Amino acid sequence: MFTTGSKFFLGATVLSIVATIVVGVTIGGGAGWQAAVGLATTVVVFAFLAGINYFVRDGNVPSMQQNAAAQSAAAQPPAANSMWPLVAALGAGLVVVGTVSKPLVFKIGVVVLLAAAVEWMVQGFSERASADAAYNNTVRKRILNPLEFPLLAGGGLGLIVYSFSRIMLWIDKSGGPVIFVVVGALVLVGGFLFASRPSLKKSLIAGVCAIGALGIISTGAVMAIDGQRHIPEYPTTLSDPAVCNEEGEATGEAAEIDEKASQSVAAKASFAVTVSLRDGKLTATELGLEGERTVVTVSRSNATNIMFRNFDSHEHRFTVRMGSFTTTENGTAVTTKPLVCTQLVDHDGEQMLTVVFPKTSTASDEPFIIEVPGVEGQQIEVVVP
Amino acid sequence: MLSLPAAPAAQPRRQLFVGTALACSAGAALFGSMLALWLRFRTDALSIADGVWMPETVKVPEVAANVMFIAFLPICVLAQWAVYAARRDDKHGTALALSLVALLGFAVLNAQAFVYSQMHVAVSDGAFGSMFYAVTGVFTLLLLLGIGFSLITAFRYLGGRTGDREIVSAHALYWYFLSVAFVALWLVIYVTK
Repeated sequence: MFTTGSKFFLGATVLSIVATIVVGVTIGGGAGWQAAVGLATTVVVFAFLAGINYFVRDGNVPSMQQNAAAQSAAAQPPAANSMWPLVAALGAGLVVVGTVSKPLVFKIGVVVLLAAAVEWMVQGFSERASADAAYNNTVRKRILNPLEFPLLAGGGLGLIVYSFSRIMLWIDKSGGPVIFVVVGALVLVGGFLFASRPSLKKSLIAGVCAIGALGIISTGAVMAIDGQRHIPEYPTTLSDPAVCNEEGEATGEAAEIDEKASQSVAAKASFAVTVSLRDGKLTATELGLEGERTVVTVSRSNATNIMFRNFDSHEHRFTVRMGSFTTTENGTAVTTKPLVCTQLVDHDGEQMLTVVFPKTSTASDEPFIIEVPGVEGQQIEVVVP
Repeated sequence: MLSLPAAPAAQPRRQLFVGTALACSAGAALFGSMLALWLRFRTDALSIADGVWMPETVKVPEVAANVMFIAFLPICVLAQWAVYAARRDDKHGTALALSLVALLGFAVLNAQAFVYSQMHVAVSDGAFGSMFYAVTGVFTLLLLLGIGFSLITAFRYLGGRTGDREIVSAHALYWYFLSVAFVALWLVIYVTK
């Protein structure tokens, strides 16, 4: 009546019951509770397994079953080897690592996990298509190749492009075009040779292309690790605000600031204040208010567009002095005087400056001022309520 | 056109059912061990003078805990109904039963979240806090797996594999295990505290 497996588990259950009673009676306190409940758990588990074994008859093939040798579970061909569980495990690992390191690692892990799931699922499906393994393989290819080939080609092409970009960023600026021409010429010559000799083996062509691609990828990897060449940052009025105090063109390392400065503003630009310099006199008008003003009012903490028009015969830049603020850092009083300015504006030229005043005028030790360096006695005060 | 012999029909191996049974056994052993540790820590804490196990500020929302307990009764009935309906090729009945199991599973999950929000237990509240979240956290994880199991079972069955009744039986077995595990948890953690 009882199968061999279920008898074994029944014996283990009885033994566990005895052990639970003995331990429960002899050991007291917290340790007694722990041991008794732990052993009671083994009683439950062994009894459960005894029931399962009895229910499935130990998983045995009945001796009376016809064709048991050919159709029993043990007689079925084993599943083919698959690398997708390994890839899925790698993806799961990347997901876990990505949650505590970089989001990019997490995203790569999710992609690897999804790809492995799809490949694994289709492989499992194809293995049941027929009794012919070769035909099953064609089924798998028919389903997945239209997906695999474009993705692999796109990924490989992206890798080559990325590697090439690392090479171009590593080499000298003047050497870049030379290498570009040489590599392009090599590709052209190679393509010409392959085309002129159609009898060449495909494997040879594929080998040469693979070696070339590996060369680019490995070189790119080495140069990516070494880092790109130093590319100096292009100076701007924001990176070098000292130029805002200068009259005329910036000099020294900041000389590039005024190169090819824009001299016009789009008609659709929206600005709150227009500042004009005409005949050595600085005037301002505010949107919605009539007449020229020497004091303009702008809102706090909002981006305010100010237009500067230069009708003077000389080129000028337009500077906004945004007050003076004193703070204490490590017991020392530190004074900052933020200022922003445009590039040089030619005669009849115009530029727009976007300014944000984070604090009110009263918070500053000095008033907020709009001025043009080199034009004395002409200032427009900015009030920020 | 290729004309190949079809793959041999898979024999009923009961792999999933036996595998689920083994997983349930492992889960039961884990759960029993955790409850044993809980009782040991509780007994040790209360055995010393003025010893405190559960902080006085912590109140167990008994209504929510009891609702979770009661919810497992219809879950077991519905899981068995799914097996009953699958055996009779009643696709609609099976789908309805599996859906209701998943829905009630979500309800239990919701109640567990409510219990967490009401009890205000911190993990750093000594052995009680860490053990409370260890035991209920493992149960919540097993509950999530159960809901996933219901959804996968419904997906497979409604997807056309109506001959695969073993997964429906395995699904019912898993929810029986969860029900028994919760009864033990409910008694030890929410009733005896």
